Amino acid sequence: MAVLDTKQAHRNYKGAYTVGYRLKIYITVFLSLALSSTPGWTQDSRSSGTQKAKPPNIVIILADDLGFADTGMFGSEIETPNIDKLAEEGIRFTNFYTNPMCTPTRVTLMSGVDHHVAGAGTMSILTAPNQIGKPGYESWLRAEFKTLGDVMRQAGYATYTTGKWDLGRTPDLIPRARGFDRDFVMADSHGSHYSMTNIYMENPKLIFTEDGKYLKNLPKDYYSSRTYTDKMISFIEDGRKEGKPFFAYLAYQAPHDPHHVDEPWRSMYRGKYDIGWTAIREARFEAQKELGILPEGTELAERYWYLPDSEPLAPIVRATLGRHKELYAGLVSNMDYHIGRFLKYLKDIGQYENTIFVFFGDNGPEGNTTFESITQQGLKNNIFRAMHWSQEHHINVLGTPNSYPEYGPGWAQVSTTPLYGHKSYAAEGGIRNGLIMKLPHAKHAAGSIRRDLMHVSDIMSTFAELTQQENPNGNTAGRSWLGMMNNPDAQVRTDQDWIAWELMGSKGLRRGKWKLLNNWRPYGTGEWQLFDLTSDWAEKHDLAGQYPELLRELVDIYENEYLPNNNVILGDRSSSESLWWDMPLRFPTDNKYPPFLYRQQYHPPADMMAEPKN
Amino acid sequence: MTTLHSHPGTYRNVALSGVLFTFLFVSATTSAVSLPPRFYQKTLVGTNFVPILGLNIDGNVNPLDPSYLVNEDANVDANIAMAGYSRNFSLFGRTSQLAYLQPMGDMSVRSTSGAENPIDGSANGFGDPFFEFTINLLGPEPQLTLPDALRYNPGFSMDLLVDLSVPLGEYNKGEAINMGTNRFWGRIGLPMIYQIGDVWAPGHRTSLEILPAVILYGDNDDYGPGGNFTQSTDPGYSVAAHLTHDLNDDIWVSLDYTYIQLGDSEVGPVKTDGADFSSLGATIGTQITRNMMLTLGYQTTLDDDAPRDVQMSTFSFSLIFFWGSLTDGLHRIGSDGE
Repeated sequence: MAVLDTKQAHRNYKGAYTVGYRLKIYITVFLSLALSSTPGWTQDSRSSGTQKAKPPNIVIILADDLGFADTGMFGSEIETPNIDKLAEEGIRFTNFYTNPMCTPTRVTLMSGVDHHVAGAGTMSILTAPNQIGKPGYESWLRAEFKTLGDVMRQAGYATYTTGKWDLGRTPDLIPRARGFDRDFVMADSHGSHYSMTNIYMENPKLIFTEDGKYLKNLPKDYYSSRTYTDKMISFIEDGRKEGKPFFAYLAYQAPHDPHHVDEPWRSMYRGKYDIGWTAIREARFEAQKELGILPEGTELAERYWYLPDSEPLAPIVRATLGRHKELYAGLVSNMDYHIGRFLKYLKDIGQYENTIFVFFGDNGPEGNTTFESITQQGLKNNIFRAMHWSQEHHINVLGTPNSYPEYGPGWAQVSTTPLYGHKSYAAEGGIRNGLIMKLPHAKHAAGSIRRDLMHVSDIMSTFAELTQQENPNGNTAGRSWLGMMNNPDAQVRTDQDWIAWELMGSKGLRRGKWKLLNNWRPYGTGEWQLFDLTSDWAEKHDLAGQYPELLRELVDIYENEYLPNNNVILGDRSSSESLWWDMPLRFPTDNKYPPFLYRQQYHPPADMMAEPKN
Repeated sequence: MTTLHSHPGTYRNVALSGVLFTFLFVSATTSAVSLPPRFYQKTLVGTNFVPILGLNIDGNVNPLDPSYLVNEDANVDANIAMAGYSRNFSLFGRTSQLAYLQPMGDMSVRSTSGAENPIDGSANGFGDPFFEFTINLLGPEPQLTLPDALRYNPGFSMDLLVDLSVPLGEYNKGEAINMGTNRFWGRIGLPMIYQIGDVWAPGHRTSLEILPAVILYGDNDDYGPGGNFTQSTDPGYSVAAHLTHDLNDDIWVSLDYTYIQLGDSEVGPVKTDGADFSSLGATIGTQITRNMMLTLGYQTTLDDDAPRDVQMSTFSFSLIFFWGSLTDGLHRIGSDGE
C-alpha cells in the first residue's frame, strides 16, 4: 500500500532509509520545542493567561482481524457498548483503509510509509522465493525507521505499548528499542490468548517482552485482552507522577484466531448464530442502512461462490458453524469490556476528556482458515496441533485454551458486510475498516459519520504534525488529518489523491471514487476491474469495459508509479497456485518454500530473559 | 474450501453425549437407593435404552430388600442380572424419563446363628419389577434437537424422582431368602447435579451429584419362618453422592458414597430400631461402540465390623445399549462421522 499524490515527487525507496538519520537533527530540535509550544491540535479548552493547555494524550486502540461491520455503531449485533460510546461521542469514518494483512498494516502504522519499503513487503510465512533476502521483505519493521513511539517520545510524551507487536523479535526491533518507555507485548503475530503456545512444531513458543526483557513465563492468570489492559493501566498509573502526556498504543490480539475467550463471554451468544450467516449478514446490512453508514444505493456483496447459502443447512450444521461465530462475537465483546475498563480508568484519573482516541481493526477479518493450512495432516505441525491444539472435538470445548477456533469465510463475509473479500485481499473487505476517533473538545458533531478517504499511513503524519514534527521516515504519502480534525469542512484528500495496495499479488488502487482491483484467481478474476465506489462498495459492477481510458490511466499509475516507487517485488510464487484448478497439478520446487513450514523458534539472548513483573 | 465438512464428528458427539449420561440406571435398583453416577444427566429426547446389569453381591442382607434386615452370622451370596427398558421424553416442557427394570438371578444364604449346622437357603427366578419416573424441575430445557443435545450443560439441575417396586417377583413364604419382597416400596427424591468447571464435553466433564430421598415401604404380611408375621418398616431416608470426572475423552470415573438411615421396623412382636450405614465405592465407564456403554464398579459398606452392622460388597458391570431414530438414521447415511 501507499498513499500518494500524483503530483508528488517520489523518492526512491532507498532514500527513505537515509531520511531517518537526517531527521535526527530535526528531532533533537523539536525535543525541546514540543513540550514548550502550543500543540497543533487547536483545543477549545481555554487556557488562562498564565497556563498553557496540556497537550492531549493519544490512545490508539488496534483490534486484530476485526471486520468493518463488527462493532455496534457499524451495524453489528455484537455487543460493543464501550466502543459504541466512543463512536457516539466521536466520529465514525467509513472510508478508512488499512493494508490487507496485519504485519504490513502495523509496519505502516508505526512508520507512516509503505510496507514494502519499511520491511513488510509480504507476510513472513508467505514470502515468495524471489522476495527472500530482499530489503523491504524482512517481515518486520526495519530498524532504521522511526516509529510513532520515537516521534511521540521526542515530543515529550510518555510512550507505552501493550498487546501484539508483530514488528520484529530481535533486541533491536522490540518496543524498548523502538521508542517506547514501557511495554508488555507479544512479538509474534498470533497464537494462544492464554499462554505462550504457538502453532509450529519448530517454533512452539511465542515471544513476549516486558520493559525490554524477554519473558521466560507469562504473568499469573494471563489472558491477552485482560493482561494487555491491566498493563497499560499500570504503565499510565506509574507515569502519572511525571506529569507528561502519554501516547498509549494498545494493540489487542483479539479477535484474531484462535477465538479463545473466558466465560461468561464464551456462552454469551449461545445459539444466536444458529440462524446462519446469510440472515445475519442481511440483518447487518439493514442495520448499516439505518445507522447511515452506507451511501444511498449500496448493495450487499455477492456471497462467495464456494459457500452455500446457510438457509438450507441442517440445524446441527448451522449450530456447529454458528458456534464459531459465537466465540468470535464473545471475543469482540470481551475486548470491548476491557476497553471499557481502560476508558473508566482514564475517566477516574481525569484524563478521558483530554485524550485523542483512535480505534480501528488492522485489516479485514480472517476468512482463510490459515491454521488449517499450516497444520494440515501429514505435516510436522499437525503433530504439534495434535499435542497442543486438538481440543475441537465438541463445540462446548471450542474457545478453551487448547482449541483453535477460527470461523472461516462464511462468517468473515458477515464481518465485512456489505463488502466483498476478507483479510489478505485488496478487495474492500480486506482493507476497508471502521475507524472511530474521539477528540477532546471536538468541533465535529458527536456521533457524526465522515467519508474522507483515509489510510493507516496518515496516522504518523497526523501525530507528527500535531506535535509539530516532520514525518521522520520520508517517502510517505500519508496525509495528516489535523486539518480535518480542526475543521469539519476540510477533507483529508482530494479527488486526485490515490491509495494503492499490493500483497501477495492482490492489487488495488483507489483514487477518488474509483477503485482498481486485480485479485488473483480463483478469489478474483486475475484481470483489472474498475468499480465506482460512490455506492458500489460491494464491488459488484465492473466498469472496466465501460471506461477503458480511465482503466488504462489508473493501471498506468499503479504499474508505473506505485510499483516502482514503493519497492514492490511481485512474488514468483503465491499461496493461490494450489487453489486454481485449471493449473496443471505440478509445482516448481524451491528450498524452504513455503516458509511457514520451516519457521524456527527464536531464542532471545540469555541476559535479556526475565520473569514477568506481575 | 467450504467449512461445512470441518466438523465430521458432530453427530457422533451428539451420540456420545447421549450415552454417557444414561449409563447405569440399572444400578439404581441394584441396591435400591444408591444413586448411579451420571444417571440424571439428560440426553436427546426420544432416545431408547436397554440396560443389562450383572451383579455379584456378598454380605449379610438381601440386596433386593430395601429394608436391609440384617441376617446376623449369615452370608448372602447373590448373582443377579437386571434388564429393562427406558425412554426419555418431554412432559409439560420438561425433560422426563420412564424406566422399567426387571431383576432376575439367584441368591443363597448360609447362616450359622444359633444352630450346630449351617442353615442354607436359596432362591432364584425373577425379582420385583421396578419403575422409575423422573421429571426435571430446575435446569436445562429438554433436548429436542441435535443442537440442544450438543450444547447440553447441566449447570445446576434438580429433578423430582418417584420410584415404585411392585411385588410381582417370586416369593415363597417361609423361605429364608426370596427374589421378591412381597410388598410395595418406593422412594421420592430430588436428584441434583452441579457442574464443576465451565466446560461440558467429552474429556472435560466433572460433576457433583447428590440425591436426597425418602424411602417408603408397604407391609409384607407373609414374612418369617412360617410366613405368618407382618413386616412393617417406617420411612427411611438416604443421601447418595457421586463425584464424577472424565479422565479423557473416552473414560470417566466416579467416587460413589451412600448414606442410608433405615426406618424402624417391626416383624411380629419384634421391633428394631432403624440402623444407619454408609458405603463407598468407585465406578469406571467407557463407550465401547457407537451405541453401547460399559461400566465396572465396586461398592462396599463402611464401619461394618459389628454383628448387627449391614455388610454388603458389590461388584458390578453394565452394558447399556441405546438408539434413536435420528442418530441411527444419520449413521446409516454416513453423516455421523463414523
